Amino acid sequence: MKRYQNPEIFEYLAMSYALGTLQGRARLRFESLLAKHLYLRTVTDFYQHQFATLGEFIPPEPVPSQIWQRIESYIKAEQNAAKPSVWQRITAKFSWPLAAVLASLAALVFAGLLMSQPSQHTYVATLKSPLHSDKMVTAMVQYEPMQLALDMPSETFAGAEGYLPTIWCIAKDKSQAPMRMGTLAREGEMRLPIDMKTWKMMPQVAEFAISLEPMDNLNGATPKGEIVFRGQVRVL
Amino acid sequence: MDRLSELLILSATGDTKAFQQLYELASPRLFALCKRLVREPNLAEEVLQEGFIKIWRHAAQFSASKASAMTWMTTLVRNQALDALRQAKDQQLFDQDLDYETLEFASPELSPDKLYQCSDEAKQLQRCLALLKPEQRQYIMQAFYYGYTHEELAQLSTTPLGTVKAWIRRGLEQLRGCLQ
Repeated sequence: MKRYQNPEIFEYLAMSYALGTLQGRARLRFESLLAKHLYLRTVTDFYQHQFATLGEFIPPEPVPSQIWQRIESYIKAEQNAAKPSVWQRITAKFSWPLAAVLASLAALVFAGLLMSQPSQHTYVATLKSPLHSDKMVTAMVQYEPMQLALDMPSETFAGAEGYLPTIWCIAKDKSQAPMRMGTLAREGEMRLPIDMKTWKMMPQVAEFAISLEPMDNLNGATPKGEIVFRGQVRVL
Repeated sequence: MDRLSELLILSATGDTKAFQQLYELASPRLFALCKRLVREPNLAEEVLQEGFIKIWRHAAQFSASKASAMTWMTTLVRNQALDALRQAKDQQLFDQDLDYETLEFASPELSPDKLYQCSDEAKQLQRCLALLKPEQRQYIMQAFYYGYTHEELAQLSTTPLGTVKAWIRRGLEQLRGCLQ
């Protein structure tokens, strides 16, 4: 992962991958990293979606009718191939009442989906160490699932035994105190669930910071230890 | 939520009628993209077909909060087309003699009518592309619409490979700053 720890490099690679100019072995290497790192996937998805909007400028062209016929045949064959399960055999006896109930439920769920789909961003940050330029932690706050996801390379906190790596949100409004997000593992990927209140605060967050807290500040409301990583929050 | 997103969500529940409507609305533009990328009508038909089968299978993964349905489908179909293009190149089935097409359809000076029909994200990208130097914009758009590699772009424009790479790199860096 070392080559990809520099955000300048991996964002450029993510853009090249999304554009399609990343080719051959480099593309395959990048794909294997994508499978491992949620942060890379999110950044790459962001650029894939950005570039995909270029498709809107293409003049539409008539589509030969046989394409839909082949797709339809495929779907029908797939549906026919699905053998009736025990559940389907049981429900076949009560198909009309059940269908009515399921249709009502589906309508309710769909109506709920239509009404409750807010446009949600992802908040990302690459946290760098002022002392070790080769070290980096990536942090990402997602709506679905609602969580803070972190990716910490091995030996991120080497030499910090006896301290608790703790992540904080630093507000844009400097008069506000930092908000404690949680205690971190020493390395690897980590997910910290967050609540709706924290999610709603994200637009006001300027930075993430990781401090090394003394053991007696496990649930402290403010950082006492040294800040070892920090990085600006960006919206994707 | 736009109509395409509604239809895609319904398709995820197994509603084939909704899926057919989705296909009728989205396929003309996606087919045009496939034709440009793979440059061979039969292969473009195959790619579109496979792309829509993938859309049918993976419709449940679509999240309207992350992208529009058209953007999601374009990403999926374009990746399918890029894979087919690479295979065709590997098997030497690829026609190197291209009819050069201008990129006027995506010109930064689009008519107000055309711009009105575009999503906010597309307008934002268009604004950012307009800030690039013409060569940077040209190479990036040719890579998107035709799947050209650095080497192919260098060959087509009779420009040294290093120069093409540098133009694209700087262009992407500028776009990155602008899009965020």
